Amino acid sequence: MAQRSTFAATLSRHQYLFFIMPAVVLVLGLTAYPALYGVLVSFTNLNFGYATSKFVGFDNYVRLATWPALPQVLFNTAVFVTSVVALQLSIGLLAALLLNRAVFGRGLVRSIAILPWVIPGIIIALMFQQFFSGSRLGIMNTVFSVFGLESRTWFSNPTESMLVLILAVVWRGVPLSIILQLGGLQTINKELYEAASIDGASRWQMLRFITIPSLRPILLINVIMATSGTLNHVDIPLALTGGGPGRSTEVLALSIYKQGFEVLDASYASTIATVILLLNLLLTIVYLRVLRARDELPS
Amino acid sequence: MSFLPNVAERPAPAAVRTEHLRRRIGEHAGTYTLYAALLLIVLFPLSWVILGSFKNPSEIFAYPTTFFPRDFTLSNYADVIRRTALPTYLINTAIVTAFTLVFTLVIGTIAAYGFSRWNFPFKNTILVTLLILQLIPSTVNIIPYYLMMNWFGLLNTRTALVLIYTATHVPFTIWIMKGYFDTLPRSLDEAAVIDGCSMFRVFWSIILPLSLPGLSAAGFLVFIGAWSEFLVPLVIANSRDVAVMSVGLYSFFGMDATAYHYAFAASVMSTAPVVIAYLFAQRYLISGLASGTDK
Repeated sequence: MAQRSTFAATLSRHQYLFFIMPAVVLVLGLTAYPALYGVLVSFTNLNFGYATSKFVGFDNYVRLATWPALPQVLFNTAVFVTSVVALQLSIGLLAALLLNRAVFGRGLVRSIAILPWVIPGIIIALMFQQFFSGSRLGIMNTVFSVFGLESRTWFSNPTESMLVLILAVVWRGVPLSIILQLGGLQTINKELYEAASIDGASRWQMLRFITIPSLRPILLINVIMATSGTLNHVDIPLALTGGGPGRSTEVLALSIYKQGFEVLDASYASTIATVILLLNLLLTIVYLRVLRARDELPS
Repeated sequence: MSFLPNVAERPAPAAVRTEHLRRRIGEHAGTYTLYAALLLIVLFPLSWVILGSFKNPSEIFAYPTTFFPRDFTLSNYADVIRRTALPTYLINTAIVTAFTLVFTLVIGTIAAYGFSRWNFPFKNTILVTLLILQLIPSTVNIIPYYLMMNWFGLLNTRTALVLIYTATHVPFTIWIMKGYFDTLPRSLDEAAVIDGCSMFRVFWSIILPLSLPGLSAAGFLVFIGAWSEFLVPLVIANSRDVAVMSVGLYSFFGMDATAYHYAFAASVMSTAPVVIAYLFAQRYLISGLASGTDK
């Protein structure tokens, strides 16, 4: 009897295990384990076309470093990520400032401005594909002709193709910036503005010396989230341009898919994935630092 | 306008109110011009697709391009439903999304309650680890997912998708729900336990009903995530009978320029559920997410 009650006491002391275990096991099993498994695969010569594989050390990493397409893919990735992040942040900040003004109708405008965020990536890809179609059916060319501009071929031109890709991803990503920046704007103490206006500050000065500095932590979180989101983004590049024409819009994340499921070279794809994983870890470390600095994390 | 705070609430004659409104709108002409630009950028592409779905195929392929349909027709929708597999894709998407939603919310909220109500060794380490794992995207895990699901014999099953989606959505559900549970006083639980409730009972019939706003916000995020997922189902479940909407649109008629008239109607049908969910959820979604960031 005494033994049973000790057992019962132990059980109730560790009752939390029943609550947290299903989640912990599932998440470790299907996110942490695959990530480590992927790193392991990058040291083999596993190919979806062959039955067996063996350990090959750093061979895949040497192959990746000497891959003739690597400079172009890295260049594309850099252009894609920096343009998307810069545009998302600046347009998002502008829109958030606009939507933070106490004017009639802003609730409706805000709801519509955030709408692109919920639209599936595949739909956005289809939409922009038709929008920027190089045939005369593309409405963008029609709009261009109204303004007396020349028609563009869009997807058969490397630069224009990248431009449309960036536009599509920005169109979808700006709402996240708006949500974050609006949240940040609402935490700024209104008295700061009142004090500044008494001191005769202009609106530009208030923006420059009150709003932007107060938003800095949120802007930083936004940069990290947008960078990670864009670096790992495959949906729209895959469905909109498929990396083409040639390799002109192939970004690193898309190379994982292409090498793994078109070339079937699973280990090579895992090598690229491992590189992206390391970049993600780097971003995560910065992210945690920022959150710690803001006391948002239990240390 | 802060010196006239209650004008709108006072019953004013209609003329005065309109005049007041006009003056306020006039004062902010610059803001409204920029609002119009914002609305145009968001709504022009969307209305192009929506209006396109109601055009006759002959009008869609005609030149010069029209924006508003000359005559309004539902035949594209009828064609998509009768002649393509889109209904199957949408049903598959709904099944996968529904199961993901239920499993994620059940597993996520139960764990969040555990993290909120007990103190145990390594609690914060586990919580931060979950946050870090959240940042590992499925893009990086896509090859291992394929190998693991192949090994489990789950390739081309909806079960595989539900498993992966649940695992990737549980961490943020825990973070959102733990935030809500932390605001509810522990004395609530203690009183119920003294009255003879088990901890599961306390969680289910007291804590959970009080956390409905958080549950809806988390549920909505899981819903749009699971509904829109593209890369994972493209790799794990791409056969025609289990394909979800995104895979169906991409593989089976998205890439064919001659199927514009199908693509427009199919896009509208595939997007409607998330937009409708958004219209219901957006009120507390925006305030909830905003309050989450300035916590």
